[in-house]
Amino acid sequence: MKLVLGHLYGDLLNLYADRGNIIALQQRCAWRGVDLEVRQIGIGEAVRPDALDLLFMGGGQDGDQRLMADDLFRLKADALRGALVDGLPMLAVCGGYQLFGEYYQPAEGPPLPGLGLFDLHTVHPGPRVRRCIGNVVVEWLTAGTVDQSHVSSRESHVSAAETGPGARLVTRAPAPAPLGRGATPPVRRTTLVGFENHGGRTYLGPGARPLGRVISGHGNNARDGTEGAVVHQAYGTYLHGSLLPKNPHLADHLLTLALRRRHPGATLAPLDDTAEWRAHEAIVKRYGRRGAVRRAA
Amino acid sequence: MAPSGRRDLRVGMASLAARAAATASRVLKRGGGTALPGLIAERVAPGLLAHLAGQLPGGVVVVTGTNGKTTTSHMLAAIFHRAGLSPVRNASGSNLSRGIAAALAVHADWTGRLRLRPAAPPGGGSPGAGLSAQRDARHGGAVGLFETDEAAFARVVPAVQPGVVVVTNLFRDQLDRYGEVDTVAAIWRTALSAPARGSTPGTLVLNVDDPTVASLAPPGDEGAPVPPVGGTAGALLFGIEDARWGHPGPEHAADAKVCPRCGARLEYPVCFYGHLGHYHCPNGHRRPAPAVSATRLEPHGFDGTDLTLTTPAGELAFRLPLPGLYNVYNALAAAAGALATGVPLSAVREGLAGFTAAFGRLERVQVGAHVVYLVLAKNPVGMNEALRTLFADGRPKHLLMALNDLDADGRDVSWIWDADFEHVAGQAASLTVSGRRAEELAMRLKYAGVAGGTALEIEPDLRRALDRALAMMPAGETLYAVLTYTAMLGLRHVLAERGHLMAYWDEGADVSGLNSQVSRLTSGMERP
Ligand SMILES: [Zn+2]
Repeated sequence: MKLVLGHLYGDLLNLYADRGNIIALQQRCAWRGVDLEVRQIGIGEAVRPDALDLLFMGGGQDGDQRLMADDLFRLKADALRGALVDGLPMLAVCGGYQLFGEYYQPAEGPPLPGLGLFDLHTVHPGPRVRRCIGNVVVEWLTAGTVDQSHVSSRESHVSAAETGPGARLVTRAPAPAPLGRGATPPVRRTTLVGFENHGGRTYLGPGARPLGRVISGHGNNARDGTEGAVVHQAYGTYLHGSLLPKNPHLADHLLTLALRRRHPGATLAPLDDTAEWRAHEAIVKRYGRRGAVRRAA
Repeated sequence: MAPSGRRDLRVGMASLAARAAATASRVLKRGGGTALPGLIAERVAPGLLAHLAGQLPGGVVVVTGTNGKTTTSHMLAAIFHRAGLSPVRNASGSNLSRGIAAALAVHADWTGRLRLRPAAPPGGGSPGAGLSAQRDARHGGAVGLFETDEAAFARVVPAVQPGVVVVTNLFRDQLDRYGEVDTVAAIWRTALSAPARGSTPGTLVLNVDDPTVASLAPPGDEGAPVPPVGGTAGALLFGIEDARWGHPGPEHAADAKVCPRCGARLEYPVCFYGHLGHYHCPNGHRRPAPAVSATRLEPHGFDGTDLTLTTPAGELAFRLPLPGLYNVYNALAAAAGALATGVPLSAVREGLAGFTAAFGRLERVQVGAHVVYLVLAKNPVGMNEALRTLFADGRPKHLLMALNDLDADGRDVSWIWDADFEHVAGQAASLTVSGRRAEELAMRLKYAGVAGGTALEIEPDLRRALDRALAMMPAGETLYAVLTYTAMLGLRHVLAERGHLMAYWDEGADVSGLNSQVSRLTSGMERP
């Protein structure tokens, strides 16, 4: 079995060890005998969603992101929008997450347009306001729907308008065998852990659901207690650290989504994730105190 | 300042009493045994300091200032060693006249004569030409190297008659203790202008980027070339010339300064930090040109700074293995101080370029039947460099790796995913993983393919991790400990506790900060 991961601007965007996410996906495939090919999609290259099973975009410094903005809109935006509605599993972290939104309002000057994949926008509050930096523990809100989710065909996706708060990721899909049953036990953990470092504050619109609720740390905007966003099969988050190695349930969820688009009903073989959960639990234990939630009025 | 050789029984008795007190207070663990013996020695023989300091054949260098005097002294000691000299130092944290008396008294015999062992063979450095110290084998090329705070300065300088006085800077943060900046400056001026007892008025080594410190220079002597030790009094000014790393300043109003000559507000077209920079006043008083200057500097983060220094003795370029502009100032102070004592440029270069050798880069410690190497690795580049060095010979190694996430390490441990631990796969004979983020590092090693075939032990507590790692090794084998910054401090603390390694206060490093930091760290190593 083979999967293809498209890595958007992998040569430009590797601010907070995005490489760790790629390594996690690659190894978790390799350990199961699945061949994961990582295809770099750089400047000047078009996105061909039909050839991809999974798409990843990381974060960069402001300068790097401006460098590729033109290329992104000219060569990739349309294909990405189509791929989103098509149910291509995507993961966007930090700067990539912000770019997936409607716009980014810098501290000075006019807003910079985003790809508009996610119904959200980001505002930079200016240099006098502290960046959101630190360890984060969140409750994965869509985790409950994930295990029962069974995305297998392109007809099975709801539109953005139908994904309000409380809406299920997939409501009209046929019902193949529940994911992961007998393999990875259904959502043993509902926490996600990582490290955040962002100046911009992100606010979700009605078309995007939060990925999680902040237990400790800042999350999207240090205000409403949300973290990340989910639209269709696309996930955006501020968590790096790296994210996927120490959140193996999320890594496997993305891999399962990717696998089932080509092989409906496929399941992932179980892995010994002792080391992963030990790392995960250590962070929850040390940094996951509820009192640490930072929310302004 | 030739050694008197005069017998003074009273000084001898004072020295003996001081030594006894030093031993006693070390046994009692009171501050590393420094201040108390000095106090006793001074009580028994009030003139002890002057009497003993006068016997130092290489003369005396005094370092003072608010920040950086300990690091600067440490750097000067490294340079002196490279030049084949033996610095006699007061331990840090006791930089008062008593500490200096103690440092000297423990070397004196019952007749009050200094008995100094011959200098250790120079570590690759060429001997300091032109120093009378070199010719005096009996005293082993001993040179006094004393750091003193602002308050003790006024007592120390007249007593020890330094040939060189290094002033690093004068910041406000200690003024609660010492009074206004101007008061301190006035005290300094008085101490420095007192007529010299001997025939050798010293050289003032001054930070020209600090207007108050620069104003200590004798009028008309600004930017003068190095006067030889024993020649006329003069100033040797140092500063940073590479303006690219400054900004118009000062950043904070609190750092604003007035012109020491006319009282007008100083302007800083280039400010490096605080009130240090290139300044001038509206009446035309400007920062004098430094004779020893950093004409080019390229910071490389925690790895240090590439420096080009221009000095009256020539130019030298090297990587200073310490981060930050403040360490550039320390290096400049040490370089200028060393040149003022007549140490050759090559020793300055070797002393500064090799400065961290004592901390973090392949430090070797004998632990019973084992050898332990301490390797600092706190970012991907450093880690890759360390791993490449370790496995260059292709032989399997016993490894202890520790990852901490305290402020000094960087709280974000993402960087371990950018380091190529894949190189370790199949190379570790045994592997123990430790530190506050031990579990995460162990997971990284799993994804790097290291865990397969190698028994990987996870023990977040550094003490127990060391024991486990050593227990897995046959006698005589070597353990390589690859550590982030605070894990390095923690493991050194453990090794010092067990008597395998000298604690910081013995080495004269930054004690007051480090010791409290380390004790916090060791407790922080325990799981909550
Ligand atoms: Zn003036």
